[in-house]
Amino acid sequence: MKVFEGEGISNGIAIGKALIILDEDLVIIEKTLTEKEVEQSYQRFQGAINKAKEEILELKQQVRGKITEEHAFIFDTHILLIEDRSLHQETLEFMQKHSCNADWAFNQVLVRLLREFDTLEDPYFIERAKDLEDVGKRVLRILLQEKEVTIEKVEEDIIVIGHEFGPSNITKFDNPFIKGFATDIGGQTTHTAIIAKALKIPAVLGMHNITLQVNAGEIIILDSVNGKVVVNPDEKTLALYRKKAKDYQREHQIFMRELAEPTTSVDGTSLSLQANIELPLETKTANEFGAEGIGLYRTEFLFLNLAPELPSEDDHYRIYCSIAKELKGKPLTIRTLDLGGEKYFHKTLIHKLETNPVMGLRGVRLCLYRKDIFKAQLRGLLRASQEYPSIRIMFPLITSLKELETVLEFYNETKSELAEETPGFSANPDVGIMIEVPSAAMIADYLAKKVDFFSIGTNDLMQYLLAIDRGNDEVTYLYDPFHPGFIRLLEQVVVAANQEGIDLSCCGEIASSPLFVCLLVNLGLRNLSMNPASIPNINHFIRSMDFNKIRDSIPSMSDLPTAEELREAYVSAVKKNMNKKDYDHFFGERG
Amino acid sequence: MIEQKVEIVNQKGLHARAAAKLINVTHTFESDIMIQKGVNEVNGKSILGLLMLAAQMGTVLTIRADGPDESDALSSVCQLISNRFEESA
Repeated sequence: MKVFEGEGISNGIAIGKALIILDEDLVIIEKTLTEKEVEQSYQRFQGAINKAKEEILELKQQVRGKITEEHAFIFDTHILLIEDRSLHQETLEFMQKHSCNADWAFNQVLVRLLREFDTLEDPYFIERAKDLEDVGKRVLRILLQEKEVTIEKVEEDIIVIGHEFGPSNITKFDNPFIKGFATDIGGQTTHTAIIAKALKIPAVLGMHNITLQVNAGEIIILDSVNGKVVVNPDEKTLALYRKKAKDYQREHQIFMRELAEPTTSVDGTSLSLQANIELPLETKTANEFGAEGIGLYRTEFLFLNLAPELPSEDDHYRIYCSIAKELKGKPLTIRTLDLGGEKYFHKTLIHKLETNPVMGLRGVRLCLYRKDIFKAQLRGLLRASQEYPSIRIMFPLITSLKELETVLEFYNETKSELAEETPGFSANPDVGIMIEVPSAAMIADYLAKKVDFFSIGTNDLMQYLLAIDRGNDEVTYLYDPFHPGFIRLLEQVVVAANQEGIDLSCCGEIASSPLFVCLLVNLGLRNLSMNPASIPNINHFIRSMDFNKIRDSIPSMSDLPTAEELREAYVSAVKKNMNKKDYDHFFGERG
Repeated sequence: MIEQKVEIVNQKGLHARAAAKLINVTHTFESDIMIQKGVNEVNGKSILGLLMLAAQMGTVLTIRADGPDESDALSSVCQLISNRFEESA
């Protein structure tokens, strides 16, 4: 039995067999071997070489007649590469010299060769590195004894383990036998986290090299409440977790019934809980989980699903109408395209690789750069809002007043065009912006005069403010919403919104975390938007809290100048004001 | 050991397909065959080596053969290269 710790996502406990899905970025560990083991490892390597060769021959057979001879030739090159004795010899020498495992040695040799290719001048020859990389990975995959299984065919309870899963995987995982995820890469905002939330199954992320620690078929317990993964549990542990899973399920049912009650705390503070969604199909989940509306519909998937085709005005219109209809009059806030960094899609829009895409051509910048895309989306939005006045439009990544004015001008032009073309057109939806860049937060008072609402996107806001890559699990420990600088910034936004009397909500991940809910309520936020699965939890949490008592137990911020002290103050305030059962549920067992 | 210089005359140079043809020839000989471009010398039986030579049209290569069938080996290799690897251009 082995226990690993990571970051729990989408609360719950799941038990199943490990299914390892390899990502391109293999993590390979060096092992020190005896002379005899080196020999055995090299034999395995040779076996993998032969297997890889068979695979390539089979592939060649499959495509025969479907592609030109010119292209089929690539398989011959791959076979020659795999058979190249110098590759085998160098791997063996490396293994003997370092007394190490074949996968490690082979990977080191590959890396050296790939670097060498990179120094060539002729682009044709530089490109051949891809062929080498391709066959190299094939061999490594076989060596690591992990074959890609077609996940759609799984018919027993499984836990999917991998490096990190991309957004295109989401439909593949929509299978009732998939009980949870465990990944190497961490972060609340990774695609795996989003997929887990969308599918309402637990996940534990950020475990560095879980893919190498687990063998396919081993029994895995995922405890996302405590951020734990147990591999090969003993009977006792397994029985304990089976009971925990049952208890969790029971509590969840109680919380679900509580959704019929208003989200009002013991001290009488009323909150509105809405849902963040990625896919139209999540609207159903949002309704089930008692969302008072959709606080953030991210339209990126709409684009990603169709890529490289772009969605048409009618595609936009149809999808927005269908979601609004399903919400039966509850508000629907639709954020315009906020793509950036997703290279495979980006390529079709701009033909330049960005070195820092998070700060590059994304959000409204991309929309203003490609006005054709922006216009189609705005027209679709406006037409949908003509039929469903519950629709609100939100612009992402605003950084300055001038930029906002440019966006609004284009929006108004588009609206006028539609009004001219369409008799009886009178749509006038609420228009708002994301506050997710520090500069926007600092000039929130100027921006508030131009829009109907603000929604604070805490994920990006913190990333930009604290200079932390939220996908880099080596630094995520610094990603702390209790940072006093972050809190000051939020205060400014709250003041600006209140002064202008505009609607204010928070749609960042922190809205689904009980501790931060206390912080946000204290700051004056009353509208929170989160992943749908968190709503029952947060609803129960709010209904059990006395926020006055919490506020009274927190000393003033100037006495707690560090994130650590502030967090500690909130934790102890919550602990003091909550029964043990609830506390254990929300914060995991006290160690 | 014998050696001979030969110029790459096909348009695409010693690209993957040409290198594959060359490998097919070198592997029929027992002799060691080395191919040199400038300061780089690679094993004529290794596709990796050949590709990493990145030899374009106009490059002059030095071919060395050493072994019982070195003379046949050398002439076969030079002939293939001079014949543009049997490509049309």
